[in-house]
Amino acid sequence: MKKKNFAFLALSVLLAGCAAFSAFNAPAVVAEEKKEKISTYQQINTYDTVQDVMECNYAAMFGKADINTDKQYITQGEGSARLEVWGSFFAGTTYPYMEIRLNGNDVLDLSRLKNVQFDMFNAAGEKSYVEVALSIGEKTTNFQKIDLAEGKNEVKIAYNVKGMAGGYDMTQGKKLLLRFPKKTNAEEAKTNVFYLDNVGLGMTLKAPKAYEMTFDEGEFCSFDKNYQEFITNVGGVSTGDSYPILSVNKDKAYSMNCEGKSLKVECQPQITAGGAVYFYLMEDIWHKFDFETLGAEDKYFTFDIYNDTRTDENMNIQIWRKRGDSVVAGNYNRYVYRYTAKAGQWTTVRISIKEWVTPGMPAYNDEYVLMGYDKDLGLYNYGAPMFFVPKSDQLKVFYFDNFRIENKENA
Amino acid sequence: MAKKWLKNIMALSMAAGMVFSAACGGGNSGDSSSSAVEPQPELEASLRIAYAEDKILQSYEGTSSLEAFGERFSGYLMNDFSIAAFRNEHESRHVVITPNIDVAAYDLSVSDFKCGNNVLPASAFDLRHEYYHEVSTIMSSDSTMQPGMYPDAMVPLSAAKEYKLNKIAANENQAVLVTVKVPADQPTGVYTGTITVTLDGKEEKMSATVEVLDYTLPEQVQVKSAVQLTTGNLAALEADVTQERYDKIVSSLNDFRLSVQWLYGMRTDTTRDDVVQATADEQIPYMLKAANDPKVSAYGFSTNGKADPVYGGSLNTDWFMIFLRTYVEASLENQVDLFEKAYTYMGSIIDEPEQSEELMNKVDYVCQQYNDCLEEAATYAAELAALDTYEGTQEFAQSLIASILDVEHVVTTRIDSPGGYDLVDTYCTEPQYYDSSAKVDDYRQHRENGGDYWLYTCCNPKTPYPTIHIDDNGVSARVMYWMMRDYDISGYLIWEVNGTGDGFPDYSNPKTLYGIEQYEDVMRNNTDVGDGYYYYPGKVFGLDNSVPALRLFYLRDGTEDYDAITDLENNLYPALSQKYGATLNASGVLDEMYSYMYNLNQVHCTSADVAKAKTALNTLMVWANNGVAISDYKILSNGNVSTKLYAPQGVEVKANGKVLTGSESGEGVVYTIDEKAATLSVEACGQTLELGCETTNIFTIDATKVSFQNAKQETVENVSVAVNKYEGVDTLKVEATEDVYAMFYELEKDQITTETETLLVYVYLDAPEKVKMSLNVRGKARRIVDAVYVNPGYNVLRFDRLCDLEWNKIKEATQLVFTFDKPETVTTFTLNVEAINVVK
Repeated sequence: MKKKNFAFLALSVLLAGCAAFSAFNAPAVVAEEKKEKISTYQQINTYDTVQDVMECNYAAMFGKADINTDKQYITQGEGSARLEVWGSFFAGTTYPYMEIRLNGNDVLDLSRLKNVQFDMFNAAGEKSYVEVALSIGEKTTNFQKIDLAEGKNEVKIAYNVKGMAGGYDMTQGKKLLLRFPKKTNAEEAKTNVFYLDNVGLGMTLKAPKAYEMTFDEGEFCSFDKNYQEFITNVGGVSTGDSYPILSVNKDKAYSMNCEGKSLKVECQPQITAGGAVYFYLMEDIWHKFDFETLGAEDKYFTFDIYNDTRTDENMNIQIWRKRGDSVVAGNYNRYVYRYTAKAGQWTTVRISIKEWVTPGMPAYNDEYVLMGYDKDLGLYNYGAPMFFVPKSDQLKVFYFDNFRIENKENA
Repeated sequence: MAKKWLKNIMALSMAAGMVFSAACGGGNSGDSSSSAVEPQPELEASLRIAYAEDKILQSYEGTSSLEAFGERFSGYLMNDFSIAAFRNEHESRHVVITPNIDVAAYDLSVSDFKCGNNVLPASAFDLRHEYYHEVSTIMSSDSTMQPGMYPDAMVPLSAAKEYKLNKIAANENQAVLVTVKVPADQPTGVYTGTITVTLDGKEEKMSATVEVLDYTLPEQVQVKSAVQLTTGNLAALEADVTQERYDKIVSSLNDFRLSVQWLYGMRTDTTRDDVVQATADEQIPYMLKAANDPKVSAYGFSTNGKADPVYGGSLNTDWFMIFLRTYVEASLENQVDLFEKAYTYMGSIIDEPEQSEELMNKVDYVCQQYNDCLEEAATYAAELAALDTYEGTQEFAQSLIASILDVEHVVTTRIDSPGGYDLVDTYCTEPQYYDSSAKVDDYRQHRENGGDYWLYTCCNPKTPYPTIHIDDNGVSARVMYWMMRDYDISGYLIWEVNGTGDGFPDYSNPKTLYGIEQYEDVMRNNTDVGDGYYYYPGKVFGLDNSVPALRLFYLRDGTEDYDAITDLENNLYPALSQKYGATLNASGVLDEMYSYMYNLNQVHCTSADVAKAKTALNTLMVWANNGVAISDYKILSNGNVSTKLYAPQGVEVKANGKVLTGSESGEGVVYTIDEKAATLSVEACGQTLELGCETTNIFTIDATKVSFQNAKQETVENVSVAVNKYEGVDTLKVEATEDVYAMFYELEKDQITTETETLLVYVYLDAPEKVKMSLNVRGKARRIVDAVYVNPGYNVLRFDRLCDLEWNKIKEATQLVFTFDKPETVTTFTLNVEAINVVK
């Protein structure tokens, strides 16, 4: 009996232990199952079908794109995209580019974006390059140039979301843009061939916290703060290679008063009949300031510019009226402020904000641009002011610093 | 009657089913009785034929409206595949397959067709799987079409099979468009062949005939077209923005007898002289080829705009002169007139100017700029031709100069625009603005004064005006060309042939469609279904060429009809006039044929009406080709049909079965017919033309039946109306006083009804100039039929298809109302109304 009881007891203990063991582990297992799987990779397109190739915009006389099944040019799946890049053959025309949709007609949340990845075979018979940008919301990031050796290139481009989140709504990722060099005739274009495969996005596990957009007293943008690197962009009527190249300069020799950082603007050589190009600070930063009140207080918008060339340069800033979400251009709905950047020195440019906000003040072609906010419509009525740079067949460099709001007496 | 399929698959199915169910029953439940398989019904399918112009929907099930719509279209279906076509002509039919059970794979093939020892090879046939697209809304409130699955993309059947599109769901329709292109050297005759339809491996054959008529449609496309193909849009179509791809679409358009506006696709909008010159140089080889290509009716010159301080934007004349000088030099060097087929359409400078005051204000200015450039180019040509280095002939140079000065400037506006332009050369307007016969005559006068006029359609107008929209029946598109021919409209403009998303691919617009999506969403435009795109991506089906829309087939059919009539009137009849020593004209009989299909600018007819007109045209062309011509056809006031028939010696001519006796006329014989005939059947050369009509005179020469109003709708009492004899003919004489604006004629009951087809007014006008007169039918409501010019002298005024009026509003016709729009030089006038006949 004792033996039986012992056996029974042992069995009970064993069973109890198993039960206890199970009970101990069960919550952990449940928690694992309940945990969401967070992927650190988002596949965008592996170009396995013709439809995959077609689901892309090919712009600026791109050339042609086909499905490729030659395995030597495939890194993922059953196919890749064969790109025969033409472009418009005339100098001074926009470079050909393709826009790869990130999520069909929907947007893709890029808050955890770490990098853009793709494999690109350069079969053009020479070294080449591709420029990469992202279309996020209504904005496009600056293009980053990636050199392509002949043969296979595994491309990975890092993005700093902490900085970007200040100027871009990272939940609104739309397209990946790839811009290519172009050729000057059809024969050359037929050999300007690349193969694209395995397009995807590297993601972090968590969305980083964006840099906060803070301002010191009187500061508009000093380029000393880390978020300020990400609030500039370029625009204008241009080919791919004549937009200015922007970067934050750390060489104090080119910062005002040899302090902090500044914005380096490298104006690329372009043929003289090319379009006008500019850089701008994103609307987000302009919207942080109440220009109507600043104008009423008779404040000044001021910045410093260093002209690192040998000749004085006539430049201008333009503010264009906005209607709804669109900037109105054609009917001269714009304000223009002209200034001269003296060669080899810093020039301080001071603009009365009152000119921007007061009806009746002179403006280009008698149209008035009011930098205000329509509360009823919930819209700003101006686009981001555009800092036009000079056109030249030579490289010209300028440094912009210390965008600030000043009292009239300091002006 | 449907053709039934008799199958012996029942036994096979049951055996298979039994095998299948035995295996499954043992494995699953062990209960063999619960796993018994329902026997599949026998495959039965109907094969029916439809005219190409009838769009047969994939299904008519769903709503009672759709079912009623289906019943209407089923009435148009035929059992026999039978086509009559000229040499060098295309004609199509739908073969509609409707199975009772799902079909996993269908196929259709065509044999060689034979007539004695002559063969019309199978390769002359083109077979297309009709792809169905959902049309969820019919965009015109006046349309009688219903939402449903409409055919538009015509996928080559071979590709459809390869990509497994060739399935048919039970009780749904699947049509195959079968098109024959009769070779230019095909002997005349009735060719018989076989169409084989295979459903899941089982074949059914149907006999088919193609009658090759004894007439060859000329190679040269006559009716001009300006089709815009935007290069950038090729990205969305085929992911291919190259000149090669552009050329493929151009070639396809040419096969549909349409001509692209810009021959060289890689146009660039840069801002430099050297680019403009380079572009012009690139264009020359294309232009040299097109100038001699009979498939090309016309092509456009390049123009660019520039900012203008006064007009906002105008023609960049510097750049236009670069283009023109380049064209002049190439013409003289190659002795090829590059200006003869050319036109200019400045779509980006003055397009639809009525949209704004600013646009209207600059039309004449831009026209003057253009004219000045042509003058300068002509002078340049003369200077070059005078040089010692010129190696061509002076005769060519003179001809070239004339061509230069004649290059049409097409402006999308109308003759009665509020802009009141003085300098528009070629008007190009929408069908709703060709809204009266008098207006058409105004355009004809403009041509006599040295101008021209074209037509274009767009997102508007919609049914019942002619359209090339997906949600409209195909009759509309083909009839449009008959209207154009009737009104002597010389060209047709399509503003974009390859656009997506409201006409253009807008990469920020979520409605931009990629690849196969373009097949799946034809409701992509906000305002219409199908305007702006007539091709679908071919690459998704492994095709080298893009897939054309069914609507392009309609346009081709229409242009072929147009060109045949043009050949008849401009070449064959003038030649026969010389031969028979008489002035032959086909206008009377052509008016009869036009009346089968439309009045003015609206299309209410059916495919049967189009077939009737085409059959009549077939006869006219065969006759003319064999020297037989019907001329001076008219319906007299006494209801008699009067016409002449000219024929070579020895050709037998019969009317209503009776052999006619004629008299000598030039090198042949003329036969005169003047008899009352409800049906006049005229036979010659193995072809029969059915004419004639039952006419009733509804006009009583009775002064008490007419009354008058002035422009304020007040009764005018003092108008003299009396029974009269005018040149020996009994008439009612009306002496209209200055204030007469409208004349009312009282109708008897049912004299004009929903069944009235044509109304003919026989009237003499005594006035110093022509007077514009509108005819209205009045009942509960009043509806205008047409406005015509009444010329001094004798007039036979024809008003067709009164049956198409809004009878649901008119209810019962009680009056005819004639309103008068007099020129300033006419204050009073006299009408002697002889008769008013109706045809039912």
